[in-house]
Amino acid sequence: MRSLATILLTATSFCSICQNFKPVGNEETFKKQLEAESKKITSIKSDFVQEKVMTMLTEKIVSSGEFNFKRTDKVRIEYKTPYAYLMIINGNQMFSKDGNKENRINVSSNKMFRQVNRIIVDCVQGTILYNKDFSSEIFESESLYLLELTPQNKTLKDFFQTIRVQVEKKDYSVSQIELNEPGGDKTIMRFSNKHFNQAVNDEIFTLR
Amino acid sequence: MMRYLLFVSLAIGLEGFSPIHYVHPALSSDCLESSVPKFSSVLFASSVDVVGHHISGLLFLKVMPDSSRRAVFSNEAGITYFDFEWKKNGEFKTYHVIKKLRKRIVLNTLRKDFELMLVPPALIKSIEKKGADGGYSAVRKREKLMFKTTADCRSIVSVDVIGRKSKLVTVRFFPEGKNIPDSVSIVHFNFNMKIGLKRLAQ
Repeated sequence: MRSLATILLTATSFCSICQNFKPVGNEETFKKQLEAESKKITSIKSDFVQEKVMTMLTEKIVSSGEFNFKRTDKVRIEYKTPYAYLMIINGNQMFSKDGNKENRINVSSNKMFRQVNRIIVDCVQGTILYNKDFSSEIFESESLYLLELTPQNKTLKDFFQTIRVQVEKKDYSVSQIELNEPGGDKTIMRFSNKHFNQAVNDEIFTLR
Repeated sequence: MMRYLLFVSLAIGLEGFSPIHYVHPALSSDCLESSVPKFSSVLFASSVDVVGHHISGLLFLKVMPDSSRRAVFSNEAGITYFDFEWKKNGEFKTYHVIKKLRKRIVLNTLRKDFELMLVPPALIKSIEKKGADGGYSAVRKREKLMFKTTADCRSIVSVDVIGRKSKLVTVRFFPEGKNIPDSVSIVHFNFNMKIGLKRLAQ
């Protein structure tokens, strides 16, 4: 029964790609275009809704918060409901805060966090297709590009089967990131209410 | 979370002053069964402090239609760290666990800790006797489990795990009398490990 469910899920997933998305004509041209267009974005402020789908349990955990990015390597992800959690990437430093407990991680000395850091920053900077930790396939629909990334190293394979990044054709901004886990669970992060190139204070990327 | 842990520490310290009910009005073995948290699913914000390391995340507990129990722990960004199942017949199954946690001692500790929160049916069946103080005891391999319930059998107050020589773990449920707890603390005494859980609205 579980195998049947897996086959159906895979088939459904595959068909959603083949119905809505087709491979892009020239991947190299697209890569350069994505990088060039992303460079025009110096900052992003947006809301997000995250949905963790536990496939076998047929359950979802929904959370939401605020996302901030400042070129070139500053990211702030703040979960506000139903729990408070803050994650900041600032160059080689990564901070997290749950409740009043703060964690500081030097990314350069921790391989796993370095890879996670790179994924997040590369997704926003438009350089994810140059990340050698992944092989990639690129699809397009009328309004979106879909980047399907498959991890190539053991550490990342333990966490992700694929990562799918949806990019808006109109402004080359990321509209959705989907993390597919080896066990079948997935997490979808959807961005909305996006504001580009507004002044963003560096202070929000430090723990106070 | 620190404030919460402080509260938990204070609560443990004040144990001697809080009214724990040892005598059950109905001296039936059904009392423990009716005290076990009854939910279809419940979500907790979790904080694990173990030998100088701090991990936070979300713990999702679900009772499946066949009455088996599932516990899924993920980080705040959604990545699953482990997915456990306690089957009705007592069998334990690991559906998923990340490589960093794939160590026998780690998996056993996690399994045994969360088992005390979920109290799967097979564990209730293993209850050996009701003590003079009204608590229930069970044997889990070389350990003795001591359950304390409220006098009205509505909820579990605490579970102590006793080893051959001393107490190994205490699980406390807060507030007393609430069948599905708002918060839970799990404290290990043989090594430095504390788990704090705070229930989230779903």
